[in-house]
Amino acid sequence: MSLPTDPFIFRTSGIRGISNIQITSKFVLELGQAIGNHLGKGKSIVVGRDNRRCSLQIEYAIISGLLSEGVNVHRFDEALPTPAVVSAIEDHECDAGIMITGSHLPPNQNGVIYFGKEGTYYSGELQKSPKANSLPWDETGDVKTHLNQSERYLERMRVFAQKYLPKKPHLDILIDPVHGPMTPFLTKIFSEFVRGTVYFHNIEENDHFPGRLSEPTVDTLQETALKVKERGADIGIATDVDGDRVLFITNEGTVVLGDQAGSLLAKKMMMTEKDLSIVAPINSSLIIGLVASEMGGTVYDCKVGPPAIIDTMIEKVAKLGFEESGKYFFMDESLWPDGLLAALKILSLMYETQLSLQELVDQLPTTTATKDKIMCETEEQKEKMMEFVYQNWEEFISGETKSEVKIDGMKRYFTDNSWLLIRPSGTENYIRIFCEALTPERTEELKRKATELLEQAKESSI
Amino acid sequence: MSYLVNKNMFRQNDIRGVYGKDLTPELALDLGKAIGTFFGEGKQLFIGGDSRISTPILMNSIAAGILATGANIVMGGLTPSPIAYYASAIDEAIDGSLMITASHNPADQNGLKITDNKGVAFYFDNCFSKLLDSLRRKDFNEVPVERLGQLRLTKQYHKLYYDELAKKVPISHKMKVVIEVGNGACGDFVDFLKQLGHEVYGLRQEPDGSFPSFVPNPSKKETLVELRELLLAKKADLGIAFDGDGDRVGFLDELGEVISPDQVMMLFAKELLLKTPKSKLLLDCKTSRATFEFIKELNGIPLITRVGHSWVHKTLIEEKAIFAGELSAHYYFEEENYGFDDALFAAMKMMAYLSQEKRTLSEVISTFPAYYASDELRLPCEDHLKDQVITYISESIIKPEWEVIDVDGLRVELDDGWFLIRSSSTEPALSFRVEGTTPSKRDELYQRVQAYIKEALGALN
Repeated sequence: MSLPTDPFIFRTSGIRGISNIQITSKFVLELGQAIGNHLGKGKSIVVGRDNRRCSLQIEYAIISGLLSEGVNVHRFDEALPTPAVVSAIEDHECDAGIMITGSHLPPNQNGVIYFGKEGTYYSGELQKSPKANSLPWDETGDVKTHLNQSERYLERMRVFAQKYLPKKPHLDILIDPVHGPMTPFLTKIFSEFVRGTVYFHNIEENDHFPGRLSEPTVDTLQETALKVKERGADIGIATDVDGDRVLFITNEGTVVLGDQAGSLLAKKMMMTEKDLSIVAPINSSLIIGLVASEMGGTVYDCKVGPPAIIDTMIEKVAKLGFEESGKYFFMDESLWPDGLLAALKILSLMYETQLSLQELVDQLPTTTATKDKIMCETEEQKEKMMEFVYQNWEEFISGETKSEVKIDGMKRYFTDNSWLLIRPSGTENYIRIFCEALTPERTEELKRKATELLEQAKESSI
Repeated sequence: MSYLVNKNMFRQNDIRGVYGKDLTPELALDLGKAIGTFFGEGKQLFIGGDSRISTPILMNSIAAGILATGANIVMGGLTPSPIAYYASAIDEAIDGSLMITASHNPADQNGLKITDNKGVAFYFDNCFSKLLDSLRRKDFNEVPVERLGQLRLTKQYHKLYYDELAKKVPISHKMKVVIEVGNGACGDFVDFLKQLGHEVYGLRQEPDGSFPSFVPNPSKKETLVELRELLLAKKADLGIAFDGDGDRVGFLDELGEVISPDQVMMLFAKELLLKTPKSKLLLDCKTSRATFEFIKELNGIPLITRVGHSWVHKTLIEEKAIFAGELSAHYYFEEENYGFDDALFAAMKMMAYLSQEKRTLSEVISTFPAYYASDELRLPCEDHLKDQVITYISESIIKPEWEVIDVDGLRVELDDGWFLIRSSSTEPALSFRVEGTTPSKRDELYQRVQAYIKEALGALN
């Protein structure tokens, strides 16, 4: 993994790298100056961090850089989840926000996310500040430390909890915040708004996150799922360290995929708003398409990653967006993903339908999805291979086309409701294959043909 | 991005430079790494700072640098210097303190003072030279991620300090005082005195690093003008003026007259020697002969020292003295306090003294002996010539029968007065002070010293 220092490139979830090797204090100081220069003298920004050991050092260095560019900084005296930091932009009437978090990455990695005023993700390039270190002393910024941001976020969440769980349902819940700063908020909100037992897993404060990998996936949540079943809980709620991602576990110990949870959220919203517009990235499951068409909603494809999801939501005036990683976006409540808010809505759906989470998941269409990746050596080869894919698609891939989307690689929907996506990775030297169909046979066929196409592409690119 | 290290920033008692020119965020980051390397991985440092506008930038950069070396931080934020020293003195778990301040220097400057685990200031030879070397070679002990330092924000030491101050220096009755905070770091002291029940009027209590009125300096008249007016209007017992970081304090009596530090030292010495007779007291080489004589009369032992807080504190400990004073209005109480220069403690001591005294401050001062001393004056002199001028005067002008004290420049004791010539550590100038037994002797000495310096400069050029 290499990290360009000039310019700074914000990818789908900010800038990321190995702490103290790529994300050094000097790098971050300069990044703070670049963001300060981009934002402009006299503007104000919120800076928060998760509880990784290396986040603290980054916070101090980035604030120094911001102040030296004349930006006023609002900071906090504690580690906070990402949604608490993004919502603080509005609380303190700031122009932007920075969250220092390695999110779902291992403890030795870290990252910086740059949010706009409305909680939108900045993506693209930032040049180094041309006036770094040269602003006169009396034009530099000031810093204010807020001591009660967790209370403000908690208040915000209480309003949502009151809205979605006014009757305080009887539910037993197991929470797994993977030792992150979401722990107290999940604990307090569920203790206050749910009658039933709250069980805990991986809540001890430990910045090495010994319980599991931060990224919630079917694989990483196996132990948590076992605990849910053992305890006889109605639902398991597992976030990543900074609390913007969440996956759910059913009462039977099955991990609900992000696409399934997103589809459940869509169903809940379509109970009162039939013509709901939904945004999902191009690699999303066809489940959401089937659910939406059944209930009258519309799904818009977009590129992978939160910046594209939010931009498309704004463009299409879509009230819901989500991605399979477990990030859910609600236009009316929180344009940035918030694991706790999504959890409240799922609990609300369970209460309203009086169905268990397993029953709700069982009502969703069943599909078979799979993915694969083909390695390539260089960016240049990646481009050549994609060119080959565009030109030779017809020869390799069979099926009657329903529609085609070329916003991020090539995605084709077929009349049998199956689809295939071939897209170049934005961060690594891979070309990825995603496909899904109503039967395992069709899925396997699509994957096999796509692999043949890419192998041919690779051969011809050498 | 790179920087040049201006070695002149690394001075005898502290580090000082112009923000953005000498002291950039980037240099401060590396300075933090150098400091963390100096103290060592796993050590814990208290960080405080004054109200200067560039202080938060430097504080954040230095903290990030320290954390990178695996040293831990107790972050105090806006803090008077004595509270930073106090944190390292009282808490065994704190291995040193850092104070980001340029004291009374102009607002565009900033700097750093560093103490050890007992609140004793480091100086060039035992610390700053090593930091400079580390910066020049970019030689830092940066640790892997899992060993990075940790930090906690706290005002715990501020609270402990004031709680202890209230207990340690009881003031027997309610007093009326006016205080010039000068938008510096000591605003809390005003509220502290109010909570103790005193009638207190604070001027410029809010921290403001742009220093819209003046950079507070109790040795400068402009710092005292408004304080004097308020004191007279309120008919207060005492006027107190702090510098920006609370290590220096000036006093006005109830008539609005400035009490010279020479006399403040006498007042403190008198009280201390009553409790601990025959003790040693340390006075800097600029101090009036009257103060030395006064202490001898009280059976105390006055010792003379170089100027500069790190040197004075070190000497105080080595000599086992109970008190030290500098003409620049630093006061050190070894036995009653922790030995570091603490303006808040000195202000409390002054109030405690007056609360037990039937006379007013001006009446007390009028009983003290006094000669006729000049202010401290400066004559421009290029840096490379400073020492040569002093050597020339020493070798070619001073007569063998004159008594010469050379702890810091030349202090020459004559029958009818004395004069001191020394090189300024802060600017290209020679600093001098004279004192005569009569005003005319003082004026004559004043003319003589100027003539000596001119003669030396003429000969050297």
